[in-house]
Amino acid sequence: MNIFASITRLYHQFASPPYFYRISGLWLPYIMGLCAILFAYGLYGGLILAPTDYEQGEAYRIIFVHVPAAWMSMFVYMVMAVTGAIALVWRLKLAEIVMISCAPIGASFTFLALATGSIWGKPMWNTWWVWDARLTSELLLLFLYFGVMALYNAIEDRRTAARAVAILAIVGVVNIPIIHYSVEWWNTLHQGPTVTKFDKPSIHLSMLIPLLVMAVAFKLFFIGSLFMRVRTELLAREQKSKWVTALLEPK
Amino acid sequence: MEALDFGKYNLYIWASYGLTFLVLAWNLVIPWFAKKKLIKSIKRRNYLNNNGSNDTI
Repeated sequence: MNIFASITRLYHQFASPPYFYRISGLWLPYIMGLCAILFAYGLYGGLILAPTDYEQGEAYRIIFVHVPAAWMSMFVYMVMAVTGAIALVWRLKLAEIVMISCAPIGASFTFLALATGSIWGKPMWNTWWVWDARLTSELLLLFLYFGVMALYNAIEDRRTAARAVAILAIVGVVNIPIIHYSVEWWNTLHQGPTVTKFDKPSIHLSMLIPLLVMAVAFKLFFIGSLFMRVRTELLAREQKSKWVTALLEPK
Repeated sequence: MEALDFGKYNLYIWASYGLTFLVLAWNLVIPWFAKKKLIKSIKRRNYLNNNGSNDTI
């Protein structure tokens, strides 16, 4: 069989609401279970196993929640923009729902990155906040998420709203490289990249491992939380369809 | 619990981890309640449509 045809078929099958609802329901407990195990290990590795930093003392331990949250704030935005593009081009209902479900989760991770960064900044920089490139562009990301949510709720027709939101989400992508490279392009209080350098990361393995484990845990958490929101939104939009009626029929 | 005593940074570290916990919990509780509420309303409407009077839509 033609491989392209089978991929297309799989894609359409996965994008069908009842199929996605069923499969995501099967996966959800495993995703959240693995996420909980990785979180437990990441906390143990970060708070107990990892040694004290020679420069920042114990305060650096905020990195294990701050950096994964900041990475996720950008990753979720990219997922939102890519599903937005898919929604615009192919008018897939599932893509629209995934896109809009990303917004509150992404906003919460952005808030967390800003808040933990601020708490970290106080003892290290002696200030809660500076208007430098990294912090300001991350704050702009939070406002982009708010803008997406506000725009979606301002337009009554869900499908028109999704198209408008998709355009806003795609335009906002320009902010992502600005956040990422801000510490290299401008002089800033924020420290430079420690992990995503092409040569060797300037962080010891005993600190890098819990950081990466936490990053994977955050990613799994995002997928799990996204599935929860998408499933609810699918039910809401398809509540008059046969599959939802059959699903909720009293046994 | 000596290993979890971070001296003068205790407050900063535990505030960060506490906040992380709250944000993650919010991301679970909100969709969970939203789903529960929605299912209840769909079930109620379906019940009315099947057993109820003609004046339900």
